Amino acid sequence: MGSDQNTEEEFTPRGAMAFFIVLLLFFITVYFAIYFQMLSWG
Amino acid sequence: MDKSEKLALILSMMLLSLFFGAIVYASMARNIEVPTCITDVEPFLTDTLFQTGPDEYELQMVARMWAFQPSVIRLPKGSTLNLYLTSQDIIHGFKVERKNVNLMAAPGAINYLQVTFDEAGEYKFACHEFCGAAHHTMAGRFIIEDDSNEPETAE
Repeated sequence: MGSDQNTEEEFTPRGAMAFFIVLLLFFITVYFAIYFQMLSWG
Repeated sequence: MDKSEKLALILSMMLLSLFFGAIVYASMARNIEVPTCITDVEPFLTDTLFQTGPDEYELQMVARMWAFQPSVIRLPKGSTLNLYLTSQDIIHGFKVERKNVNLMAAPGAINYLQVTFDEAGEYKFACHEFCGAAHHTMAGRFIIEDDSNEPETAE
């Protein structure tokens, strides 16, 4: 019982954090791809 | 609040600030025109194209079910067009390909945008606001010519 609680406290959601970072990078790529395309149109 | 949640929130807010800053930079430093609605002028009922200066033209365009009037506009290369758009009946959209022109044509109001055509070629435009049975046929084109022919319009 006690060891289960310790495991829970040490848990770091690495997968979720990595996915979130990838998601942000994806948003930046899509946003600025369209942004610079619109700027080139003037 | 959990440390990871706080970090995610801060990163998201920084990203939104970056996107917003990029829009402000484009409109202020790069001088990109923002569509404007003119409400204190009575909307016109017929189309007109005339020259207002060297390489500068004014086009008063009327949208109606299901055509733009005029639908073919010939201009010389390098022209700056002051576009005034209104609608005779219902709300229409106006989007020019390869240009930052995206306006609404609303009855009772005039929407304004300035656009410069630096490159010769054909720029198609279309209604992008569903307006009825023949919405898909509501389109036209700007024809930008290399030689400095007189500007003209056609139905």
